[in-house]
Amino acid sequence: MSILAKETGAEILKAVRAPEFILPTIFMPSLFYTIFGVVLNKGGNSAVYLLATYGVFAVMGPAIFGFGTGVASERERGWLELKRALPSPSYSYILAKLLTTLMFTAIALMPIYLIAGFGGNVELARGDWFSLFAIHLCATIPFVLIGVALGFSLNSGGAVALSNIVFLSLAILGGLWFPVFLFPEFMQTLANFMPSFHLAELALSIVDTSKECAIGYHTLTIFVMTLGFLALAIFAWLRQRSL
Amino acid sequence: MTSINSSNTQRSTPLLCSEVVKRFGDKTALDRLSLSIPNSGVTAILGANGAGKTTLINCALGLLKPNSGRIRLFGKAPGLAETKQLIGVMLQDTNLPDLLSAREHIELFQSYYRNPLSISQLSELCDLESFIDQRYKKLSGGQKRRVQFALSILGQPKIVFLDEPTTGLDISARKTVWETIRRLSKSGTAVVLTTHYLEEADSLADHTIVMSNGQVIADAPTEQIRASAGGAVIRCSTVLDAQIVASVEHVKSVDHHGKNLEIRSADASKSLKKLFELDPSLSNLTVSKSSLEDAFVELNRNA
Amino acid sequence: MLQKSFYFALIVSTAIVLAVLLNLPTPTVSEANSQRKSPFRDNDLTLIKNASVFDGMTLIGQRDVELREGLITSIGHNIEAEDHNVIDAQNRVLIPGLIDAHTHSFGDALTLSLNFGVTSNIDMFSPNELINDMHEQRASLDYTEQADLFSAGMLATIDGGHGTQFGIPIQTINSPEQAEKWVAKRLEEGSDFIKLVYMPYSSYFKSIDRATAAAIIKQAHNKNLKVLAHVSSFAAAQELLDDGIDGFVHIFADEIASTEFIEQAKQQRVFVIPTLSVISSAAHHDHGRALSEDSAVKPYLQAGQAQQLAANIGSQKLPGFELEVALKNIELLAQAGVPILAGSDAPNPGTSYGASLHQEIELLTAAGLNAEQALSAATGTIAEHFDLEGRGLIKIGARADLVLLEGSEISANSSRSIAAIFKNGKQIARKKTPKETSNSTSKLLSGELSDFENGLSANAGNLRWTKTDDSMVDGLSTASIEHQQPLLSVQAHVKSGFMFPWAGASVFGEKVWDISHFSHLEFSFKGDPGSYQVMLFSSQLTGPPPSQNFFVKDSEDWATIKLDMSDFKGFNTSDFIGLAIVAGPAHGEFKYELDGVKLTDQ
Repeated sequence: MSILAKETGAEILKAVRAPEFILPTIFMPSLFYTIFGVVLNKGGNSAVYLLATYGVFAVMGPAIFGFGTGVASERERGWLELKRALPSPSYSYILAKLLTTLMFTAIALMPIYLIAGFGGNVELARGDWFSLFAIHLCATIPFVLIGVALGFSLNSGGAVALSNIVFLSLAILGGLWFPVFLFPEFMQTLANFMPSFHLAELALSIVDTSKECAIGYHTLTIFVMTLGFLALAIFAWLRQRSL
Repeated sequence: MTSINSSNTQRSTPLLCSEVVKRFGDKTALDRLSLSIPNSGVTAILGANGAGKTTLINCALGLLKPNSGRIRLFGKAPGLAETKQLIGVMLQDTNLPDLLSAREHIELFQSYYRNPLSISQLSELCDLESFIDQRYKKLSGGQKRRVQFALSILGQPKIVFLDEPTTGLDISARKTVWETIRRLSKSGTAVVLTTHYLEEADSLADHTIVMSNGQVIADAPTEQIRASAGGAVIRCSTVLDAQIVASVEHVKSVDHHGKNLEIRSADASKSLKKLFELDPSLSNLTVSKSSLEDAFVELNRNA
Repeated sequence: MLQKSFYFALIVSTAIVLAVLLNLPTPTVSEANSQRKSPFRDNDLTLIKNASVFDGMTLIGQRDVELREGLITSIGHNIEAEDHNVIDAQNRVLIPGLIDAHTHSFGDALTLSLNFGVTSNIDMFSPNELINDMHEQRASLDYTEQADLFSAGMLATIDGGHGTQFGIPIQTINSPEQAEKWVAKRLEEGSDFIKLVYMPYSSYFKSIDRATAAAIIKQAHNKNLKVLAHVSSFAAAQELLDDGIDGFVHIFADEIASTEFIEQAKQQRVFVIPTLSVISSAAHHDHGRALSEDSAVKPYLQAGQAQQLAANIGSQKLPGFELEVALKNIELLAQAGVPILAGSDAPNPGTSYGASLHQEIELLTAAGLNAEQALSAATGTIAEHFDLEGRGLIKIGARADLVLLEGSEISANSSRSIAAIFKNGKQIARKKTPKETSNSTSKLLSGELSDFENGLSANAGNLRWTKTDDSMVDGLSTASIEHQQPLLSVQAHVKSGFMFPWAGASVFGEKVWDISHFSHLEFSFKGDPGSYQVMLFSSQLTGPPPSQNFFVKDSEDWATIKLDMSDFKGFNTSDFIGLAIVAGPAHGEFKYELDGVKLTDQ
């Protein structure tokens, strides 16, 4: 426990001492949300819809970049290799990074919620706000696993490039920026392969009760996808160890 | 020298390798390598680049798994948490996270070990005081090495692996590191250092292991290896043919060194006496005690 | 240091998250239940001054009544007002909250009932989940806009018996041996009493046999549950009386009760819930329509209630339901001292939640009860025969469910002149009839609904013919239609699964039309022998649609069917969205053909 606390403390210090990375991941989504969800909101309920989807968008950044590029660069610096020779449990590093990511995503969500609530006039029952937060926070996990897989597979240059591609694809194709139902049909089909889409749908099921939502289908799909990413992350991790 | 079977001896041997093979693809990095590290003093593992030094260290640390053979540290398999508690490590080409200070790195590492040294002890041992609260990124190369070195001995290990500890450091920084290694060694910790600076092994090591192409080609007290290279090196300018010189009593080898000859001799005075007999005009004479570098060249010539 | 950073970050992020989540805006009061406050007051202390108090049995004179935290805490003269909300009740009568002793409470039942001063409903079986929550709900003294509920839960009937036609899953009981388990199951489900259906002389329905009925009565009595019976004939009532029944949930209207029966009922302390309102509807007396036009009732009827009240059961007067016989029987029973309890049997056609209990009170006076007795039948007398946990009476410690009536005296219909309603000691705002949605309806100019010369589009009003069946309300009937120039061919399979099964053809559009200028619906029909019906649909429909039946005996010839629009009871002719010509409610497979469907003005 003390190892994990200290390891996490170290991760947090590293993160806050690189504000050029942490500030954009926290404020970019809220800025986007303000523009598209509130300022350009032409009636309709896009404030509500985009609250659900931008929340997923907000947690994606820290998860994919924090792990994808963070792990890749620390691995390249030989830091991970050294840690493996030390008597610290091997999971503590990943767990510490995960905890740090969760704290930052939690904080990154708050400006969006505040803007939605007080700027976009979104009103939810207290329990629904908490449920929405829980779903958004849990959404971190599959993206973290994607980040881990990227970080362990690529050098830092490659990780930055591919993380960006993955990040943008998940955001756009998953319907986080524009509702999926505005897409042409083949892209709607494609959305079903995006974890971001299923997470957004689950978040939508809370904010928009009038919407028909196959909660079981989305939950099951995201669960299976997460298992897949877990397998991928473990594979990437084992592979880099044996090199 | 490898067939030590008593388990008591095994348990007290800091590092014991027998018949270790490690291949990368079709390249054999360690070729049935066997060695043992004495339980005190500094052991230098010497070898040209690509001789397999770093692979050996990585295998001993559990970072790499040998294809066959057996490695034991104090009788324990490498890679176990229990084993890791006993060893300290300073790897080649490792950068610690830039944004933490030495103090924070030390604090984190302290949580890994059962009996860590305190910050003040470490600071004194490795002379960190002046920069302990600066971010790692801002430190000079020598300061970074000192921090890494401090981390490697923080757990009060019984064996410390230093992979090329002074590569890239200037002379004065190197001297400081050496000094610290000597102090560490005196405290009873076995130190294993790999280096391609002969000078470093020469001045630090009590014991030297020379590796070439994944094999041990020499494994003896440094003094002995130095001696095996002959008692002395004679440099002189002579009219004599090199072949004639080589046939002189006690002469082990002759090399051209510009206009001069460089003659290795097991007994310099006897050889010189003979040489003066053969060429009374012999001039520019210097005689020096043989260095490890001489031994190294000698060994690699034979390998 | 590192550890501190971690805990610091953990605490800060948790604090930020909680601070935000706990302060984000939540919906302001909506129609959601539970947490609401009475619009009238913020403290829970009320003093009703100088009311003429009817305590559930009789008028006891002028009193001050104090309500505190849901209960009646003081009754007396000149009670000092302190922090009370004071209500001046001079020239008003305070009565206990009304109780409807016979309802089938589902949907909005409890809200609609309370809107008419009915603070408790007794449910005689309904297909609903309200029963699951009723114990908890009625135990609460919190503010609510719903009446409390007491229920029989599942009713006791046989496979194919009355109750099974509604398409609701029924745990039927077919033999005396099943009685013990059946009753135990009801107790476990939380039934407050047992209701059984005993109709051995019905030609429409099968019935449990007398031995089974007797076994149920015995088992229920063993477990201290009362047993009430639905009977539709005097003979059946006599048999159950002999077997020890506790009460009847309808008065039989086929025969005048014998003096022996009346004497025996009195001896056995049996009570009767006549449900005259629904008998009136079955006998087509149009009492419901009159009620819906009463100036004290009309302004408070909610969407669909007026139509429900204006409807009658069945398209023709049902045999075996003579309102005069029913009234006579009640008169005789009441004179003999048999307790009479007021119940409406809402929401059967001709009745509606809450409103119809006022109708029932009036009908009881028509059966010879005086106004006090009739009002008691809807309050104190019910409380005496059901264990209603402090309801139905005005006394100290009773639940403060009260109704304040205009006028200082009570009469046959004074109960509907409501000045205020209190539920759990808190005043309830009565809901007014919602404003008509201002869809300016246009007149349907042509009445030609189709001669099927040009496919399935109607000639008039952009309407279109489609199949229709009760699967839209989870029934099991199926239909298919085919346009066979120049007529429409329909195949219908009517199956049990919904209360009023149907299958056939319908014509619908997207707009609401005014068809008040048409007097008749006319069409040509040829089809398999059986019962058919025409149903009219309006946009405000809540219950079963107004309908008329017609019967076909001969399948060979075309017949012209002509129906008077005014016979579609309860239909608002300026709110027409479509109609259906279907087979049903009798089960079976039917094939029929339609042609020349039109609305005419002669």
